[in-house]
Amino acid sequence: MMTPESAQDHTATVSRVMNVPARILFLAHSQPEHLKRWYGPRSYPVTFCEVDFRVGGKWRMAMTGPEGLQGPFFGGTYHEIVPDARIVYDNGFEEPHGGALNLKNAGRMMITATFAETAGATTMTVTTRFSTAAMKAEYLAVGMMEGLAEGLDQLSDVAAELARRG
Amino acid sequence: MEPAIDQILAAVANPTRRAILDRLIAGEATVGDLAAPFALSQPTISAHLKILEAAGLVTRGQRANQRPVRLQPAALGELERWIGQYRRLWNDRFDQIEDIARELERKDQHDDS
Repeated sequence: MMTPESAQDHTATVSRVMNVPARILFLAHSQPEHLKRWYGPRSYPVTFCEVDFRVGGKWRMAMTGPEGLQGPFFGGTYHEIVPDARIVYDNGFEEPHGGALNLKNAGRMMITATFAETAGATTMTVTTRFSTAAMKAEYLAVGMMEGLAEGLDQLSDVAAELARRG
Repeated sequence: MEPAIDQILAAVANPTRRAILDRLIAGEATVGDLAAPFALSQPTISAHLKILEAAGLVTRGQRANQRPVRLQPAALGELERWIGQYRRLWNDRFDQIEDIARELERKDQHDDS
């Protein structure tokens, strides 16, 4: 069940267990040549990437979609770096509303990535805290997706089915 | 005009309204039917329905007195599509970082030997 207006309301968490050491996942976060290969969604690879990987350092990226045009710049600052364990950084578009994307809910988010290794497998957990009230809607959708809101997973499946029929 | 996704998300952000939607999956219902499982009055249920209706998630029939409530697949489809985007983004990222990490690990072991 979701309670209105608690700190948790603005966060969303996703995680996956991977059969790789924590230090390698940390490494994949720390260098542009690696980040470029995983940070963009599959159809929007990162085509510009500069990172100053240290606390207080800036990072900056842009992605290119199937139509071949590079999208708006986004990025932020590294707030916390604990080798092989934890990275905290903020992320947002440089231009208001994401430039040409003209997003209504563009705001800044704070992202915490943690790597917990046990017996060679690492759980990577990513918690995103949305900064503005407008972005809360985004959290809500994520909450549903993660099953935090009971019944919504099922609803989502039904929605897909109904949309196909309708 | 399609209701904005913000409005749809705000509408489903409430547990009572989600329960109403869950109930409507089984088929159309009257306000009385919907109020029955909740410790809520019909006016309260009606207020929730107004929000769901404004978001395009439900429609009300025209039958006198009854005005049965029905789910609207289009808005639910929009919700599903939107939720899917975020899920796909993180699925993609996890898939990709796992591939790269495996590759880096092999290289790392190779360098050590």
